Amino acid sequence: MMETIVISGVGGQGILTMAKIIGYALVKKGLRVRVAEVHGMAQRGGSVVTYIRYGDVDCPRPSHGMAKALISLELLECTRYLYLLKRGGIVISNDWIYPPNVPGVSVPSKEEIVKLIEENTGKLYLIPANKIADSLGPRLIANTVILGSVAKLGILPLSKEELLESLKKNIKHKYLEVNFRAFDEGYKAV
Amino acid sequence: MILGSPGERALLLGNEAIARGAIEAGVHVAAGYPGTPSTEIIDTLAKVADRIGMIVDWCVNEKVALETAYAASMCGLRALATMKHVGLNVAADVFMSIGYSGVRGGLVVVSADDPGCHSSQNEQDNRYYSLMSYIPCFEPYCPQEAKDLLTTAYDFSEKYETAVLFRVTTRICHTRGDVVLGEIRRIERKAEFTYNPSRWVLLPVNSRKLRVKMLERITKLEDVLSSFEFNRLEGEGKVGIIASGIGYAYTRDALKALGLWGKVRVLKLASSNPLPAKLFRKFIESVEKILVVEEGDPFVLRRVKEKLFDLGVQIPVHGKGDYLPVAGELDLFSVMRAVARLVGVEVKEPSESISLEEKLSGKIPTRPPTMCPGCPHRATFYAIKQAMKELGERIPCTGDIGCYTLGFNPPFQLQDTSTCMGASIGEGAAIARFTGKPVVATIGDSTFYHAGVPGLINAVYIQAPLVAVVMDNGVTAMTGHQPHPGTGMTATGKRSKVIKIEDISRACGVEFVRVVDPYNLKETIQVIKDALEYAKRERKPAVVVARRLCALVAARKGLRGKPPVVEDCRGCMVCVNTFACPALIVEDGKVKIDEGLCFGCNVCTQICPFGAIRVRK
Repeated sequence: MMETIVISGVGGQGILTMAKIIGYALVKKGLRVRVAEVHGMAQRGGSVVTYIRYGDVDCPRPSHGMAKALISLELLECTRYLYLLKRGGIVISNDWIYPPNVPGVSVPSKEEIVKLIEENTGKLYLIPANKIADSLGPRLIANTVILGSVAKLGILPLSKEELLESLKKNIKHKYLEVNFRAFDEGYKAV
Repeated sequence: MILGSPGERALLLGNEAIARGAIEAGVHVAAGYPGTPSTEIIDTLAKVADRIGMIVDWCVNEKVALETAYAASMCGLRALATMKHVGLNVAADVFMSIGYSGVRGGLVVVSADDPGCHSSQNEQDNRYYSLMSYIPCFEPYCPQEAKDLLTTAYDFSEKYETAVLFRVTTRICHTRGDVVLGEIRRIERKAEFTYNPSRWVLLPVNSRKLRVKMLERITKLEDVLSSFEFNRLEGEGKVGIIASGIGYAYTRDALKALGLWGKVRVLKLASSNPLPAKLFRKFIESVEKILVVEEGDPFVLRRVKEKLFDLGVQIPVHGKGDYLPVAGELDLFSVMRAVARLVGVEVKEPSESISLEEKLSGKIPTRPPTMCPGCPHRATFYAIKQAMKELGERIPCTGDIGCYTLGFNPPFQLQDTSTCMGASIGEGAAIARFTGKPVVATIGDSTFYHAGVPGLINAVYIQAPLVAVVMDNGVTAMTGHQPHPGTGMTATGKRSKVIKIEDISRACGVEFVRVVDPYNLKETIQVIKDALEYAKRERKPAVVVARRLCALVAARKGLRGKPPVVEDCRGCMVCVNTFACPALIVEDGKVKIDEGLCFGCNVCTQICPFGAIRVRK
């Protein structure tokens, strides 16, 4: 078995934290894991993509059409990396659009983007993760909302409990309570 | 976690694995200068330094970091120096000499190369430094091997009295993987300088002899590395693959995906220079063609061709340049395609996905990285641009390496050059001198200490009409907030003397030195104008220190201000088009503040021509 999951979003949304939580849980499960991150300049509000590979894997960087699922924290960044999905791959995305910080930029409408994703993939799950996060506390926990949805959809070989255990190990204690609630809301949202 | 027990299976970033390897090897001294993708090695070690009794330093630049590590080795200690690939250019002077002298205590120099230029100005392959210096080059293929190979490198270094160049790339440094931890060795040694002039003094009389010794050593290592546990032969067949460093990870996955695992002869290399001579001869015994899989330049490929020529053997060799692209990073499909071509099997091209990528890139706008909300650099760039506007002149603005390189992007477009650390001042002064007109150099605080100071001395020396704007945000920001000599704090959080940019500037002979707060636009614009007029009138350099703490650090310290209020926005878009803070968002033609993003710097309140953005009371 050689599986690939892609996580994308905008620098600062907690993509690396989410990838680390999943990676940690996969290691605890006894699996061989590669989580490929990008740090540095690309992080500052730029487009961020992370690959998680597990099973009989060594190479950190997959190519076109290899991922079984694409998880995204923002819709434009979701669409940008659709080409990494296998035919019929699953997409789970925050339903938020954050226009690039470029004066005069033109951005397709949400309807256009959703249509584009649906035309090119097996199944799309749109999660109002920002809205849920805003209702619970800091917007930064939108990543945990999405993680809850990922747990419910059973995309990873990990149980809800295993993901929660990893969350506990990788999030600062004082933020745990609100993250657990975010996870639950995300779990219920699909 | 980094100090976990032997046998424990942990998820470690490649750089954390390297740090753990240093701890397991009983390293006494680690020194570096921050640079992506190398930074987390020292960051990780600094956090535990006091507990394990390791000396861990962020140095002023890579040259001094390597001198620190080399000096530790002279004193009999085990030492690690870390830097990004271009950092080794700065440290190259020391590095070349270490090839001659060899080492006493084990010395490993980590070079973190950045193929694909994720966060660098170039894709240089530092394995060439190994050829030039006669210092052997090791390359791990995964986080586990990064740890194990680094630990072994110390015994190797001491046994053969040579430094080791430990070459890693972004996908090793910034890949997390499962790593089984090993035993932590405690090697008790006292730093003792030994007088050994024939070795440590590189006068011609010594160097000539040392060169002969160095050539003998590298030849001997060809044999030694043939029985090195990290170099090995795998699989059988008439088709051969030489997989160097991370190239082995791609090769393994590609062979498995193609159902060819075990059916191809693989020479797995963890030492790309020198090539293990005996092992290589054994490898070529049965193969009729060779593919070399490696990250970066066709480095091993060229060495292989040279070796085959020397042996008088004619075997076709492929790799970077024909079967694999030289530019950019490896990816799994490129390696699968190359292997399939070599073996002569079909591989289904992902043409649908490739055309989808093209289609999508036409529809989805790009998202360049941007300065953060509240970033003081944004205010400084606004002030520079405004000062030029008020003087009615577009003045050349030489750039440098740091977050502020993003001033290249609209709406500022004020990085007319960006070459290497410190070049803004060296180039800026020269351009000002040649053209006879003022130039603005923009440089960050950490970069100023690193390589800006000699340029500034030279600017005074040649009397150049240069205005150096030092954008001092009190931290080495882009690499993740490391301290530097201006912060009064060491890598391990101990108090030190604050070395001030304005004091250095005056000591260099600059007579016009002003410190401003970029959040105060009016004052900053005025001072930059004054500096430009001074430079023009006096034909001398001026320094403006734009000082304000990095907004990310300030936010972490609870120094966030209140978001301003917008009332009666007329939708003129001046703030959005000239300042472009990510917290300024447009809804129905009117500007709003995204209060979740806003840092509360209130600079935008000074920009709105109608006073519609106001400081919250």
